[in-house]
Amino acid sequence: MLPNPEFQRNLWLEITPHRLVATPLIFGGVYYLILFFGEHGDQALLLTSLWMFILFAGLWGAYQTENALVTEIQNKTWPLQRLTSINPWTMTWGKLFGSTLFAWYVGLWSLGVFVVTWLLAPEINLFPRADRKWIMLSHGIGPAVLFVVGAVVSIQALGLLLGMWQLNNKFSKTKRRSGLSLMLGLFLLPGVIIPAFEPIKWSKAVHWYQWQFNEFWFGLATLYLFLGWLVAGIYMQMRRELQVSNPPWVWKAFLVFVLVYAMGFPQAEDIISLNGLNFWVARLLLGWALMVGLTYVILFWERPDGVDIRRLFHLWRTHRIRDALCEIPRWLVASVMAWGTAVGLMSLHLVFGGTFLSGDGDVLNLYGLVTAVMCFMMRDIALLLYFYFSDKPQRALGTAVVYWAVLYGLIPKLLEVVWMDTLNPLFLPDGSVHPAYAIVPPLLQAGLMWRYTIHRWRTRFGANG
Amino acid sequence: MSPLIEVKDLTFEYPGKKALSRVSFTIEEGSVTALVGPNGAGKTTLMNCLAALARPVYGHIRLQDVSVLDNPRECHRLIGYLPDFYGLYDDLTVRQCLKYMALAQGIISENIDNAIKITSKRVHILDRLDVKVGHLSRGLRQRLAIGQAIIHDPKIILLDEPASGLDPKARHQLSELLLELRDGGKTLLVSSHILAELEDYSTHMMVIHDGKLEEHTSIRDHKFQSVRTLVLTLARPAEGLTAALSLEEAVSQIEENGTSVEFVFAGTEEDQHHLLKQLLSAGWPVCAFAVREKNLQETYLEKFGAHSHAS
Repeated sequence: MLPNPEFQRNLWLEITPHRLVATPLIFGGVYYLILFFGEHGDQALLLTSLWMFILFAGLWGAYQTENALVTEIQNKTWPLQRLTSINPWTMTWGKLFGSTLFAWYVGLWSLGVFVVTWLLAPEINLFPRADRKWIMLSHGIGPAVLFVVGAVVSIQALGLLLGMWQLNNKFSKTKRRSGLSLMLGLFLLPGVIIPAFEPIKWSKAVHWYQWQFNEFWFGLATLYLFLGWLVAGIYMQMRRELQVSNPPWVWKAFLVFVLVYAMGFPQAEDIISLNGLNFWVARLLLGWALMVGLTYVILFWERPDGVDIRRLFHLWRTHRIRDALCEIPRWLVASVMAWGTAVGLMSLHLVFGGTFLSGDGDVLNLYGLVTAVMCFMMRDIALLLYFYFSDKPQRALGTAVVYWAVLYGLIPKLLEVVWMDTLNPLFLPDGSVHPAYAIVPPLLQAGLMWRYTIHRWRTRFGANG
Repeated sequence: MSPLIEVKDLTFEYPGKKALSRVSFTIEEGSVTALVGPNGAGKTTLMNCLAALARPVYGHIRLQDVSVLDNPRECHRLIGYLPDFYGLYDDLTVRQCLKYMALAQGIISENIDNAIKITSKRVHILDRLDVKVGHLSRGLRQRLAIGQAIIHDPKIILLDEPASGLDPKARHQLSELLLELRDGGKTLLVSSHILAELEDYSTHMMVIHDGKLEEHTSIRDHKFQSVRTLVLTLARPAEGLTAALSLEEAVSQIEENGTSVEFVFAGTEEDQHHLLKQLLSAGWPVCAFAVREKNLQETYLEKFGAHSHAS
């Protein structure tokens, strides 16, 4: 008997005698045909088996992890699982590795073929030109396997996280679809896995802060670090689903990690050639942009509603500060981080000076641009909350997205058509105009929107929340 | 003795709707409480909060000595809950479903087979252990769902509309099971549309309306209240009996229907004895004299019928 009931249940469902026998027969047949009847059999076998592993264990596995949660909701079995004494961590790994058991079974046969081919076939058959060998194989088969396994688990974990996102939809309990992970997996494949298939001769060193790293090892470390954060994210979300409160520092730690990680990439020589900013200002500029981006991502994720905020106020009023800290919305933490980095960025710019140039070489006012972006962000938060505090909060996100599309896309485009581009700062952050003109319109919009939102909040929940 | 379930100021909101408003009550160990109220009153939300499936805006819930909000996973060892819309794993066998729940509730491996045997006997599915759940009838699925909820022998059992969709035989079996659980010392909170069935095994009634607790009382109090309806059955119609009864101070609302006379009596049990003695000595052809006990449905409708339907 396995110690994880969720894994055990998946084992009963996923691994049947028929599947156990049929899988090696079918895949064995396919690989036999490739090896003995294909052109460059060894090379084809190496490539095909690895891609089979990535597609089956990775993409199909991601679909399975996402589907594992979506079907629990559709079949109304999720409350049953939530009623058990299974702790969030056991549930997390039980779902992550349980729902993908068959995908792993299929994938591991292919990975086995990949490893055996590499070990047994002469290297000259696999890569007639040594410099064409893939980057992932530059340090042998072990690190290559570590890389593809890490990549596959990451895609599966992403699928599970997307499933959790669908669970998180407290406004609609029926409209859930599997398949988001497949789309995201297909989108991520070129960025994460395909570069590892590039020839060694294209490999270049990675500069991070003042250090220089081998591209493969740096990529591998990054992959496992982000996998760790992905699993932590699933675990935190699982805790939330199982009504266990989360420690307040995890999300903050993730934001700091992203900030520190991203700021290591801009290098002095790149910055000097691209624009006239101070080296550290440029680094912080990237970090700030990421914090703003993550604020929007978590706003999409969290679906903030008045009830959560009311609970937070109640905890605060009753001096349950520790509980209140656990309930602080993540979008609020991210927006505070964005403000912190924005202030830090402008302060550094004030100290170090330097010219901020656009891609076209135009001089931009960094203070105007950064403040305008922050004001637009505040307006957007207020807009979304305004809709979430309505009678039909289930439509809030969709309605807000339509408004954003009109405000950021349609109106500026119309202004361009009628040669009124000068009005653009009313709708888009613009660093090329006078700072007052860049800042005042979004500041007024943010103020107005927050006024409406607070009024709606008071109408719905009373003056004290 | 401290209560087994203690709820204080429980307030729950859905976005746009207050579902529970400052609900407070206690439930003693070994009681069976019928939870009634109209659709949308907040019964399911209350059960979900008790089972740590939904987080209230504020309030406290304690089961035995466990705070549900602070230790939601721990409280699941104390609770067995059958939600109104439950799901089952159709591709697993009955045995696998029960084994999964036994493992998930932390029953140690050596005791699992025994737990499955006891539970499947209790819910009468011992002969279906190796049948796939997808092949079970609705009644059998209901029994399995209850079996899953009680396999870990919880002290508290919450059942939300447990008789919904069951045929009369299955309902009778369910009543028997609930009586057996009650006699085994379990504390039950049962919500049902069918108040007459709740009456078979309930000791208390809790009425929720519009998110507020309207009443929480012992059903015994209702049955043995001082104001009650008495029914006289006569050997033959008796002219003048209504007039004679109306002279009695404790008698009101007399209704005569041939050989049956029904009236509300507001006296003590001693007064009731005297009334009977008086009727017999006066020569009225009384052949039966009984208290007509109000059932749960009547009690509910009497109190809340004006603004709701029992559901």
